Amino acid sequence: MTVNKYKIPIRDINISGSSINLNLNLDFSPVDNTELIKTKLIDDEKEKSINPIIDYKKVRFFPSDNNWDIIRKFKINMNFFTEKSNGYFYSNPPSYNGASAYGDIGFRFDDLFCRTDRLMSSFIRFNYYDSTDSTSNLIYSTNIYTQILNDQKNDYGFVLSKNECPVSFILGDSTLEPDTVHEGFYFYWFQDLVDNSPNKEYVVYLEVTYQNAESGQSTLHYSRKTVNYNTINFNQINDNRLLKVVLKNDDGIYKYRFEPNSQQTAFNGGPGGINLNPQSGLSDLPYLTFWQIEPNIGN
Amino acid sequence: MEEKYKVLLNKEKSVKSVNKTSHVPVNLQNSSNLLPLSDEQTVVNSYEQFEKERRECNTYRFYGILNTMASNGLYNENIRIIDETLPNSNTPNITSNIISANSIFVNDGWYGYFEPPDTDEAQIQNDNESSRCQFKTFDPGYERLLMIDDDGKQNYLLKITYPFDTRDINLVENNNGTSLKDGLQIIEKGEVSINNRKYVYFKTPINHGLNNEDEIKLYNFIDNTNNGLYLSERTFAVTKLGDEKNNNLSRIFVIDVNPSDIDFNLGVSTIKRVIDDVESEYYVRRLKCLTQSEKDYDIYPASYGVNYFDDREAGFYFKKDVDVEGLRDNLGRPLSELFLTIVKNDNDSNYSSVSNVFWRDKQKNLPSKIKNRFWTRIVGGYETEQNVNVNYNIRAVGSNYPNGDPNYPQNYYENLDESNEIFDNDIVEYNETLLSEIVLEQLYHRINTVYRDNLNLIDSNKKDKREGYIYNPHSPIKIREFSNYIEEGDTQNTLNIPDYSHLKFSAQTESLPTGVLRTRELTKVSKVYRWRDLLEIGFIDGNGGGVEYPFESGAHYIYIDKNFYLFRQDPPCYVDFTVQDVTLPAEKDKFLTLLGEPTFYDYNVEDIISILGTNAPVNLLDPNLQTTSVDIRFITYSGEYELGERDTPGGCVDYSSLQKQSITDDC
Repeated sequence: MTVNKYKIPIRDINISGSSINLNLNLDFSPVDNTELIKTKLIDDEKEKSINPIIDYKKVRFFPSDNNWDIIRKFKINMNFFTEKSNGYFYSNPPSYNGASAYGDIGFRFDDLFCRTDRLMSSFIRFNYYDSTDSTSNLIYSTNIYTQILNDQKNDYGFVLSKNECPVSFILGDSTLEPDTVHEGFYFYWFQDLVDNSPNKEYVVYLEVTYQNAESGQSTLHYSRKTVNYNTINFNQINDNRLLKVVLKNDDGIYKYRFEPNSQQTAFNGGPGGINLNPQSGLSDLPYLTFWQIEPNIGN
Repeated sequence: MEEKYKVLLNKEKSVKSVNKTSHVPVNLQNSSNLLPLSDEQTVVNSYEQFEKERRECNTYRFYGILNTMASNGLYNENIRIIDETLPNSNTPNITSNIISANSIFVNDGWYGYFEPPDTDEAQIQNDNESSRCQFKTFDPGYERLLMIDDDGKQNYLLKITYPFDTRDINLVENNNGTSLKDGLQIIEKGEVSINNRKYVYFKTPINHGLNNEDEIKLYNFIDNTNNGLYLSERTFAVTKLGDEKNNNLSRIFVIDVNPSDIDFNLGVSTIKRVIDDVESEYYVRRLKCLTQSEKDYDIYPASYGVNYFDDREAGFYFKKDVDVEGLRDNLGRPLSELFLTIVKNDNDSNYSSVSNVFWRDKQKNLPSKIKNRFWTRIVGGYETEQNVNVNYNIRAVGSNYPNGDPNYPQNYYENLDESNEIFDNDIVEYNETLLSEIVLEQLYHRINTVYRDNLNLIDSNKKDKREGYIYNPHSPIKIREFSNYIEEGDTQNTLNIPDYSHLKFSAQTESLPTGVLRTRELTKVSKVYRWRDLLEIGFIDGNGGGVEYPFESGAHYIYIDKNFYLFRQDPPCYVDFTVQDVTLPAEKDKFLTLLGEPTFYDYNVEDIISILGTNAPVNLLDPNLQTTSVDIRFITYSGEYELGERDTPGGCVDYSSLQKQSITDDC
């Protein structure tokens, strides 16, 4: 116990009313941590328990070519196997980067002429995945329904015969090409994810299927021809099953482009079906050609 | 107890010893442990958390629909532009055909023509649908005036702006330096008789914002009663609004003074509204951009959306988020209002487009500053009274034609451009008693094509067409609202007085606060402040004041549904016939030119039999024709201002006097 010591000189004894200050010290010890719990712990834990705000804002991405220049429209050609007496073959010669005819996949002229439901309800599905491995997630998809437009008609506006009428689709910008179909032309994705990706580029992967409402079949299509389907090694061509698509924030303008591998590209005479910068040939339009990956055996 | 004491009794020490009381010191020590913690449970209220996040959020996202109401009544020429450039040629060969008056059609308000059945374009397209009988507008048409067109060049630029500053302007010309800061200038005096008593009325160049019984202070008026009116010492109550026929309520006010007792000095005499002895201030709000370029937003056709005139509506959203944290308005308050600013873009078509090449060729001899532009630079002004001393009259832009009478002063906001970051906006009144601004006049931008504005320089045989388009570029977006109730608080005992509050009993000497909102600290000296609370988002007060909009993904989403009107500057409401005399065959070219005018009505040869000696069909273009005078009639339109040649009437014209024409069988 520490105390203050006071000396009282004798001369002061006779003075009445002397007083000495006595300190009463009291040291407090907390009984529990209630205050700390109430003022800090709970607030901190509450804050931790609340999920961070996820930004679900999506923006529109415009398709672009190899140079990241925005394109106004592009064409999709769908190529199918047809059965002949000596086996299955692509309905177009391998060198021909075009589309099969509706007759090759079971449609009749009446379907084309009358735009029957089973024709018009057939569609291409673009499925986009976040990776190429088996754990990939389907993150976005879009359907492109049958088009009976100029490519499917003759000069007089009549629909072509079933063996001439191509299974092709033209998608265009809603502002610049108002007469085209716009569904599937744009890609809508989260702005936040792209802006915070390295180089502001976000990669997804495209898988293409054709849903035939006439036969009820769904066929998988690659952007690479199968030269000999009888010796298909699926492990080898899996790289071609998905087509790389890059979403990019290009100085404030959101764009995407297809980035085919060397097997998938048709640019500069490549063996594939993707050409976003056509120089000459079939079409001045950028085009995507997809080939059915296996015959509809038993069809 | 840790220490042990043994106490030996004295009697045990010696025979003679007796026991004494012994004292054993005993320490009382105390040690303690904290009580063990109990299980703690707390409930997180999702609604409160949502409200908290919403309150703390200063990020805004804007999206919506723009419905453009426009037509091309002010087209350059009634011509069809034809591209005859040879394939693989670098030399453009672009010509034009005149569309005669009887082939001009108005289709849903758009002036143009029906494409002939067999055109080059139809052949190129190789089908029977392209171009044939298609309606084509004269230039500028759809592709330059609507919000959406398919040439890839935006016709207007959208920006988000906020009021950050004020400025003073001089609305009425005067030599005394009197301007808006001195009050609303007076431009006209008149007399109103009520119950056989004469009252004086005064007219202001813009809306005065007054109501009956409002108090006003008069400055620089002339007291004809030798100071019997005590003009400088008193206020006057507004007796009524409007003139004797109750016309022009928003710009004429009446006070109880005999007209013979008072006069005014044009542009120098001013009035100010007074509320509880506090005079109003008048100024122009200025806006600063929060978004800059077309990269900041995306605009697209709004699906199948069309307006009543079948013009496509535009959908838009801003890719760039707008953060208003720390931003203050012109009164130093946190932002309660933003603006959607729409500015006409000169680059609304590809530089190398057929249309641009054609008009640039026509304008090649104009001054270099303008010859490569399609649109004139924007000027800004207000819908003021039609008075030759009033500046900023947007309807009078260009109405200073040489030798014209009257000529209007051409003082405007000039050199406006879509790339500007600061724009002048509306004229407002602010009174510190009310602590709120009242918008008196909205701003308008005026544009015209360079070709029309300088037509006389391009072709000396033609008159300028100086009527342009006007539009209101700034639309308010309410993001917060100030309370209807004015708070008062003393800094001695009131917490949370916002820093934008105003002293009640003395003039405000502090500079306007900036940055994030703060509150005033308590003081020992009493200072009473007044302010309006900024209502929290989602809080609606008893009078319906407040704002409510979605909060999602860490941002406030505000939907804008706006009609954007492109008005004619001065729609001509008066129609008449004029006649021009031509002598043939000497003036054959002039005759043909006049027949191609869009306002051509008919022509006739007076007493044709006596002149030509026959009533058989005569070829008036025959070079051997006997000298013949032909009267050509035109329909002429005129408006309130002298703006040169008018080709089309305003909507106010009675069309019944005009002939109608049906579409031919070809189309």
